[in-house]
Amino acid sequence: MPDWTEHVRPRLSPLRLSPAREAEIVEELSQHLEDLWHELIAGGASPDEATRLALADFSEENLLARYMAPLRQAHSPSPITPGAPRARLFSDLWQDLRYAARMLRKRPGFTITAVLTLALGIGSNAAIFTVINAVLLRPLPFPHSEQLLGVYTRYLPTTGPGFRYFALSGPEFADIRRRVNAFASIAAYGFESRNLTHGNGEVERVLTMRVTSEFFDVLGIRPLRGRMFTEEEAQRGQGCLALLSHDEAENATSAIGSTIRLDDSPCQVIGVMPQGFVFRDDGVKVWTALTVNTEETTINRGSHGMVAIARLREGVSAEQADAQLHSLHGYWLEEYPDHYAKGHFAVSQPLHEVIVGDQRDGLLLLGGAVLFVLLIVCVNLTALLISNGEARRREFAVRYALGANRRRLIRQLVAEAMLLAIIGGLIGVVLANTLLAALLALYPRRLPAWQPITIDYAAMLYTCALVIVAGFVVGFVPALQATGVRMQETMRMDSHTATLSRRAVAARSVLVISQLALSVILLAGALLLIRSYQRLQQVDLGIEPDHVLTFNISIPPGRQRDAAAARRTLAAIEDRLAATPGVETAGAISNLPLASGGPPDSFVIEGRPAPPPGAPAWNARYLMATPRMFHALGIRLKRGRLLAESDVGGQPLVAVINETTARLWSGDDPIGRTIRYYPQETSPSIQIVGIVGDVRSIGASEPSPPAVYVPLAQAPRPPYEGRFMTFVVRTQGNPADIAASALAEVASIDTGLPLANLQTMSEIVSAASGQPRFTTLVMSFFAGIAFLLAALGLYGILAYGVEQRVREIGVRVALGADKREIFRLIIGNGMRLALVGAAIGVPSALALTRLMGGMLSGVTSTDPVTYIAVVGMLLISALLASYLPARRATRVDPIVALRAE
Amino acid sequence: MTDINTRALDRELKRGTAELLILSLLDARPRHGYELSKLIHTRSGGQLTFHIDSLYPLLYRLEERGWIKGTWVERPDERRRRFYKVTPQGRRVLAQQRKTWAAFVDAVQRITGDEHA
Repeated sequence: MPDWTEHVRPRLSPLRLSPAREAEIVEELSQHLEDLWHELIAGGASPDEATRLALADFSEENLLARYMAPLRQAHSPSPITPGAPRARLFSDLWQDLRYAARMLRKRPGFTITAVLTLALGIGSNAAIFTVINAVLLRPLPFPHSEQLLGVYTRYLPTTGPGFRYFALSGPEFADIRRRVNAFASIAAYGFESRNLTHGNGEVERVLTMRVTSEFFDVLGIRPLRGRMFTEEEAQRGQGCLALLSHDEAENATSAIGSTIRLDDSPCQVIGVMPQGFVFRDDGVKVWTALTVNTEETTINRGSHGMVAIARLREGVSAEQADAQLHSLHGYWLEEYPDHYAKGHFAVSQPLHEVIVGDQRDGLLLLGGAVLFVLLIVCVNLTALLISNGEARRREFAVRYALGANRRRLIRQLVAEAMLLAIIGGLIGVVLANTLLAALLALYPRRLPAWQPITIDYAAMLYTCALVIVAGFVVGFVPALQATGVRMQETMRMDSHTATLSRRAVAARSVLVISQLALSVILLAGALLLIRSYQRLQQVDLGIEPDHVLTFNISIPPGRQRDAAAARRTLAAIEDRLAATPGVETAGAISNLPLASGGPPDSFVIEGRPAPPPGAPAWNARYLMATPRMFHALGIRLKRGRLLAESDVGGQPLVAVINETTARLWSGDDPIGRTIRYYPQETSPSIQIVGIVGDVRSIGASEPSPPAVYVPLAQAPRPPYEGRFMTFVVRTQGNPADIAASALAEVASIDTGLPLANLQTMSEIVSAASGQPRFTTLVMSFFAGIAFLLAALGLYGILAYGVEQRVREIGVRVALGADKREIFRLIIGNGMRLALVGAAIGVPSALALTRLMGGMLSGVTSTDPVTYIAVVGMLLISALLASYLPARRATRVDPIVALRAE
Repeated sequence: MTDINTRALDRELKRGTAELLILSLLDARPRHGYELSKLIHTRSGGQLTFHIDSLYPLLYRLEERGWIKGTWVERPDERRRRFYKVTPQGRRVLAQQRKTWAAFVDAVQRITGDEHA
C-alpha cells in the first residue's frame, strides 16, 4: 500500500493551514484513500491499479486547495514557533517582539526591575543631554554665528599672576579695528545697572548695555523698529539715544521718538529690538551708546575695560584672525615698548565658548556621569540576562531541535532586550522631564541658553539611539552565551545538572567586576567633588556673612550733579540705617566681595624704584569704603588702624590695605608708607594707616586679590566718584526683617533712589558656591545610583550562585563541612570580586578624575583619603551584598537539599 | 436520466444542494467522510459521486459554519477516524433547507408535470 500522505500533503501546500490542522487533514484524507484502495482490491483490482484509481479521485488541477482556499482555517496566522527559520524580516521581527512580550510578561519581577533601571539610565541621559544640547551644542541664535568671536588680550608672564582672557583698552580696540582685516566688523560692549524712571515717576534699577555702533551689525541683528545709532551719534557729548527691548517697549508703550529718563537724564528712544533678542543676559532692557576712548595716553592704553566681539570676514578662518591679532604684538612692541615688553597679546575665542564659559566643564562632567550610570545599568542587565539565558537553555535546545537556527535564537533574545529597552526608554522620557525640571530648578546660575530648555526632537532622537544601542548591547552578549553550547548536549542534561555553566559564571563575574570598577570611578569623582566642596565651605572668607543685609544704591549725575553732594547723601543714608532699631551697624563699600569685582589699579610705592618695564605692576583693587563697613562686613584689623570718621576731605589722604597688598612691600612695614596712583605727577600721596585681613572676594576657591580701601569721604581719585555704593547692614536678628525699615529709611532721604540687589550676605556667599554645590549634588546622586546598582549586581550573582549550588553545599554539610567555613566561602567570593573591581576601578579613576582638576580646589584628583574611602565603601557594600547569600548558604538543610534530587 | 457530469456537480457544491445532502445523511447518525461518499454514490444509484477533493472542503466548510462537528473516534484494532455529526444549529438549517427544497421540487414538478400531462 502506498504512503498516501505523500500524495495529500503537497496538495495542501498552497494553503496556510496551522501545522496541527494540516496534519489532521492529511490523516483524514489518507484514511479515505486507504479505504477506497482496500475496496478496489476487494473488488479484484491489482494493487497498482487500485492505487491509480484511488488517486484518480483527485482532479488534475488542485481542486482541493481551491475549494479550501476560502475557508478560515486556510489562513491561520503564522504560528509563533520561536526560532523557526523564516524569510520575511519584518513579520519575523514583529513575531519576535510579540514572543518577547509574552516572555517578559511571564517574569514580571525581572521585567519591572530591568525596565525601571533602564528608564533611570536612559532618562537621566536624556535630561542631561537636553541641557548639554541647549547650552553647548546648539549654535548661537545669530546668523552665521560660527563667524563670531570674542576678542581679548592675553597676558601670561613667566612669574606672577596672568590673564588668559583680559578686556581690551580703548587704544588697543582702535588698533585692532584699524589693523586686523580678518574681521568684517568689531564692536565693544558692557553691562551697566542704571536707574530708569517710569512714566508714573517710579524709579527702577534696570540692566542696560552700552554698545558701540557696530554691535548689532556684528551680531547680524537689526532693530525690529526704528534704527541703530550711527558712529557719530555714539560720540561723547552727543545726546543720549536708546534702544528698548521688545518687552520694555510694550510695557512702557514708549514710542520711537519719545524720551525716557535714564539715571535722571533724558534719553531719546530711536529703536526697539526684536522679541527674543538675547545677548548673554535676557534681563537687558535698554541699549545705549558706548564711546571708545582712543586717547593715546599711558593710562588709557593700560585701562582694560573694553569687552569686544568681532565677526570674521567671509572666507577667513579664526586661525587666520588669530595670526593677525598675534602679529599685532610686533607693532605694539615697537610703538609702546614699556607697555608690551613681556608678552601681551591680542587673542580671540569663539563667542560660543565665551558665553558658555566655565559652565561647560560641569555639564560635561554630568554628561559623563550619566553615561557611566547607563553603562552600569546595561552591564547589570546583561548579567541578569546571562543567568536568565542559562535558566532557559533547555528551552533554546528544544527550539533548536525543532529547527530553529542559532542566528534566529540570538535575534529572539536581542528582541527581548530591545523590548525592555524600548519600554525603559518610554518611561525614561517621562522621567527625563521630571529630572530636567529638577535640574533646572536646582541650577544656581542662568544657563546660557537662548531657547526654553525642554525635551525636544533632538533629545528624542538621542534617546532613540540610546534605546537601540542599549537594547542591542544588553541582548547580544547573553544571546551568544545562551546559544553557544552544543544544544543537543543540553537536551540530554537533566534539569539538576543544568546549572550555571562555568563560562556563564566567568562572564557574569567579569560583568560584575566591570560594574564595580565603573562605580568606583563615579564614586571617586563624586567624593572628590564632595571633599572639594567641604574644603570650600571651610575656607575662611575673611568676612562674617551671618546677620548681614546688603543692597546697593546709585546716585546718578542726573539726580545730583555734584559728586561730593551725592557722597554726602550716601553718608546720610548710612547714618540713618545705623540708627535703625535692630541694626548693629551699617557701612558702605563700592564693590561688595563675591558680588562685584572692583577695578584693579596700578600704583607706585613712594621711595621704591618702580617695577621694571614688563614686570608685573603694583596693582590692587581700588575700593571705596566707609569706616563702619569693616565692622559691618566683619573684616578684621590686623595692624595699625581702620579708616576713621575723621578721615574726611581736607585731612591727609589715607588708605587701609589687605595682607596680600602688604606683601608688595616684601617684608618692610607698609604702615606709614605712601603710595601714589597714576599719573604720578598729579596724583596725591596716600598714606597706609592699617592692614586688614584678606577677603576671598572672588570666591572661596580663588586666592584673595590685593586690595586698597580708601575712605569714601575723601574725594576718590578720578574717574571714580563714589556714586554707586553697596550698603552692608549688620543686624541683631534676622537680616531679612530689617529690609522693610531699610527701604523706608532710604525713602525718607530721597524717594527717587531705587534699592537694587536686596540680599543677605549669606545668600551671596551661598550663591557664590552654587555651581560646585550643584555639580557635587547631582554627581553624588548619580554616583549613589551607580553604587547601589553595582552592589545589587554583586548581590545578584552571589545569591544566584548559592541557589545553584544548594546541592553541593548540602553534600558538604552532610559530609561534615563547617557552616562557618561555608559562610566564609561565600563572603570570600564576594570580597574577591570587589577587590578585583577596586583594583581595576582605582587606576581608571585616577586617570579619569585628572580631567576634573579644574573643578577641584583644596584637594588634588589623587587625594588618598578619597580613594581609601571609596575602596572602604566598596568593601563594606560587598560585605553587605554577600551577607544575605552567605547566610542562606549556611541554612541549607542537607536532607532537604539532597532529597530534592 | 443520463449520467450527470460529476465535475459539473462539483460546481453545484457552491450552491446549497450538496450541503443538504450531507446534512441529511448526518442527521441519522454520525458518519465519516468515506462512508458519506459511499452512501451518496449508492443511494443515488451511482448517479452522484463526490470526489475526495470536493467532499472534504465541503465538510470543513460546514464545520466552520458550526453546522456539523467532526471528532476523532478510536476503535480497537482500527485506525482512528473522524466522524461528523450535525450540531443543533445544523439541525435548524437542515429543517429550513428541507422545507425550501420540498417547495422547490414541488414547484419544478408542477411545471415539468404539466408539460408531460
